[in-house]
Amino acid sequence: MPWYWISFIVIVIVSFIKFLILRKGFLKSLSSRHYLLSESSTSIDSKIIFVTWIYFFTLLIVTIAAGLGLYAYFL
Amino acid sequence: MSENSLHEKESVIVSLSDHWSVLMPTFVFFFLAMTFLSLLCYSAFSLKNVNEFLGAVILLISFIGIFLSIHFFFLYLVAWRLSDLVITTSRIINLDVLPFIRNDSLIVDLHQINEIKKLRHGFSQNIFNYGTLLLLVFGGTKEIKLLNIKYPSKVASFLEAYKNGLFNGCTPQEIKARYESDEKFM
Repeated sequence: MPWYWISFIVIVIVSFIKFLILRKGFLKSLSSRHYLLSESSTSIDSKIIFVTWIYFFTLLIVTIAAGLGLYAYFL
Repeated sequence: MSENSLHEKESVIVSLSDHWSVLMPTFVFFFLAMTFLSLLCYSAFSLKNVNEFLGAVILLISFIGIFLSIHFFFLYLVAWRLSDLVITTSRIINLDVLPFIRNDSLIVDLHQINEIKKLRHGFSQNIFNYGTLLLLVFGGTKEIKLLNIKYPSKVASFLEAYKNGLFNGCTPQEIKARYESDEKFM
C-alpha cells in the first residue's frame, strides 16, 4: 500500500478516536454540570448531543472528500 | 453532599450562557483556516505536474489541518455552550468549561457581595449589550471578574435588588418570573 494511503488512514483513525474522546469529554462536563446544579437532563443536553452528531457527520463528509481528493490526485 | 452542589432549599433562578459574539473569533478563524487549507489543496493539485511528491505532502498537511480545524471549532462551540453564569437563590456560580482541559467553577455567596461594577467597553459590547461584571465581596481584596455577561445592567440591577432584600419572602419561581418580566432590570 502506498505511503499516502497509509498516512490518510492514520489521520482518519486518529480523528475519529479524538472525536470519541471529545464526546466523552462533552458528556463528562455535562454530568459534572448536572451534579453541580442538582439538575436532571436539560435542553442543553439535547443541544450538545446534536452538536456531537453534527461533528461526527462533518468528520465523515470531510473524510470522504479527502479520500476522493487523494484518489483523484494519484489516479 | 459536596459543597459545590445545590443546597436543600436552593434553586436556580437564571442561567446565562456567554454572549454569542464571544464565538466570533472562533468562526472567523475556522473560516480563514478552511479557506487557506482549501487553497493549499488546490495548490497541491497544481504542483502535481512539477513535483508529485511535494504535492502529495502538501495535500496530506492540508488534510491534517482541516481535521484539526474541525476539532477545535467544535471544541470551542461546546465549551461556549457549557460555560454559564448561574444565579441561584443564594449563590452565583460561574462555570468555565473546556472539555478535558478546564473545568472551573467560581462560587460566590449572594449575601457576601459588597459592590457590583458593570463594565461595557468597546463598540461591540455597547452594540450587542454584553459586558463584564466586577464583584467585590466583603473581606475580599480582589474583584471577581465575570466576563461576557449578556445584559450586564439587568444582571447587576437584579443582584443589587437581591442584596437589598427586595425579594425577601418570595419563592424562587416568583423571583425568576420577576427577573424575566421586569423591564427595569434591563
